[in-house]
Amino acid sequence: MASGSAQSAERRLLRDFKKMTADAPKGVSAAPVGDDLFQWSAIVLGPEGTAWEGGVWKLNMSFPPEYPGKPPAVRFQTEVFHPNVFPNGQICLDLLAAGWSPAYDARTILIAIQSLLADPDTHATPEGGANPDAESLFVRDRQGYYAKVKALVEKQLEEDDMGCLSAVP
Amino acid sequence: MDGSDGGSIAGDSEEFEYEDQDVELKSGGEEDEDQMVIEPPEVRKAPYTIMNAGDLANRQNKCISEASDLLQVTHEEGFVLLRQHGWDLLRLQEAWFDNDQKVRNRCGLSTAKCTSPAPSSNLAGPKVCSICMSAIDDLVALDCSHGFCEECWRGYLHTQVDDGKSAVQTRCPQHKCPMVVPTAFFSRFCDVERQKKYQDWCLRTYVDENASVKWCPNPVGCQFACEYQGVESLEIHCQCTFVWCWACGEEAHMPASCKTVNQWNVKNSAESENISWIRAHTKKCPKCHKPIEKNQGCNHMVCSKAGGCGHEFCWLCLGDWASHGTSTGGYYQCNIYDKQSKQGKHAEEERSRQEAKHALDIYMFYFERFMDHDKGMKLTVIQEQDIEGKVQRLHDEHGFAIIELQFLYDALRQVRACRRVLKWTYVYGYYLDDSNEKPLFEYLQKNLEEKTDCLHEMLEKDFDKIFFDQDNQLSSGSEEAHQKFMTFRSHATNFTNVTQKFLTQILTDLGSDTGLGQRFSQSST
Repeated sequence: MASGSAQSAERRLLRDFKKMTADAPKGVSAAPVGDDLFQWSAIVLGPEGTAWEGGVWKLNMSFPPEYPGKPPAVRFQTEVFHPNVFPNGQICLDLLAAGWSPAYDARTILIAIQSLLADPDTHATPEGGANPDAESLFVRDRQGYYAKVKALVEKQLEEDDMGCLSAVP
Repeated sequence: MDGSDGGSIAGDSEEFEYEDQDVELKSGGEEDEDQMVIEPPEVRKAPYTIMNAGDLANRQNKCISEASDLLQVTHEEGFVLLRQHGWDLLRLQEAWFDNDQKVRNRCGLSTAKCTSPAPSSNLAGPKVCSICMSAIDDLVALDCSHGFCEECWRGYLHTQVDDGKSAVQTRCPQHKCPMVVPTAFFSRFCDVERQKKYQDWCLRTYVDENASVKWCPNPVGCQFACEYQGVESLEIHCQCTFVWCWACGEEAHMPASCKTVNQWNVKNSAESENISWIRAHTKKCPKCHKPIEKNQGCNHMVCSKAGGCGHEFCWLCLGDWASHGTSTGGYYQCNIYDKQSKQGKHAEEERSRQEAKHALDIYMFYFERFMDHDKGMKLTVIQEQDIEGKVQRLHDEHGFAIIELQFLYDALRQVRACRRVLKWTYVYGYYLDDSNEKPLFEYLQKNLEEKTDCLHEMLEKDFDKIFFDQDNQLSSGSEEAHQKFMTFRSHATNFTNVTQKFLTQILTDLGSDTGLGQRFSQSST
């Protein structure tokens, strides 16, 4: 049973990958790392016309054997200053937890994350957001928040100039 | 059996003596159920119902049938609707007749509007299962027509069942589709084991999501549930012998209040008591500040090298042991101690240590007695099996009628009830101020404790002495046997009634809202 479900997960992941390459949405790309179909590396470009524009945000996606019955674990690898992202990169997104539907795929997840960047959900966790500093700044001083995000984008570009951005598949 | 008839009359007449108080206080429970006395029917009927799994299923079905008749919906829909309204038909009814379409949408029933886009399978071209993305002709869909292949339905429902009891509210796998997956789908796609799990959860939701039904909280596990419609707090006598408080879900704790019990439990479990012990029995090494217990007589302390620093110091003054040599005037004068206590340096610490020790002693006093009665109470459950065996032997070997031996069970259950109340009187007593209530409380407690112990001993020792002593075997049917039996029976019955009387008294005096002191001053004037 377990091997059967892992098999169907593999089949589905292959289809996810095909769909990703054939019909890649703007500013989003992802692929399995090496020959492990269950570990993906992804990049999300900062949405145009927002403070995030120009930034490149790397993520890890780790798919469980029950996929698509259960959601993958998705984590930012690049530093993010966002009310719904924990300092360790973990993302607080309903779609990746209780709101998961097996009808989602890798593509829809990344699109959702891209739109989350520009449009934080400040009511997601009433008992204190994933990043309380970012949340309070976002609510209190929007311009200050954007300035911090832009600073992160600048930092990326500087590092990029120095050749620190490693190749992403 | 002439003798036994006479005895039984005497016994019964004594039971009647205290019956008035029984009727006043007790509103049901096993002690009453088993007593062979005539009570008015409204007293015999407890205001709650104990139910096993079968009763629960019947009750749930009846509730669903009522709802489906009333609202003109299917049984399945009735289940979904009731579950989402806490099994409260009145609440459901109100919402339904206010706006049934709204309720349908909210609960995910078949005419619910789906916000999700229409499935692509309506369009020309091959049908695609949106879970596995395979092109498959036979897609299975709920009324929302989001089609998925059988294999994916199976996988989805298996994951849902394996995830736990939330499986009963499984919805269509499509993004944000509110449609509830009916039982029929689980029967169709799940193996027998998962079907059973699913059905078990369906039954459990009747209790879990229902404010008027609760599981028996017996810590050793219990399958019974209790239904109670009332508002006032109540002691529930479960069929598993556990007696519990409806309001707080703890063991029945009269005369202590729910609040006091909570306080006591927090105190028992909290690390705070350990901290008190450490403060009372240890001092900190003046060098490395690790707490050190004095476990030998002399005051020359060495901080254990294993966990500490090996520092040598004086227990009394905490000064360096090196300064306690004969060269500095000798240990027994310990002039450093005098000087420091005059300065008040250690006096403060010493006093807080004494206070902590005193508080801990008080707590230990009550806690030990609390635990003793708890143990005694739990033992009666085991003793009941023991008595069952003895009753059988008395019946087989000595020709006593089982009904004549009923008093043994009554007595044992009386002991159990008394032990439970006594247990909680120690919690009550621990939190009772040193007011004029205390002497009366302690007097009542003493009475009950004394009589309970007598009865318990009688059941454990005297009973065995008469009937199960090897040297003193009674010949069956002899006059002596019946004589002894009648004496024992009348004693035991008597004590059962006396303890019941004290139990009633302590509960009525302590359990009411008006303070004991008030009653005390009233009775003394």
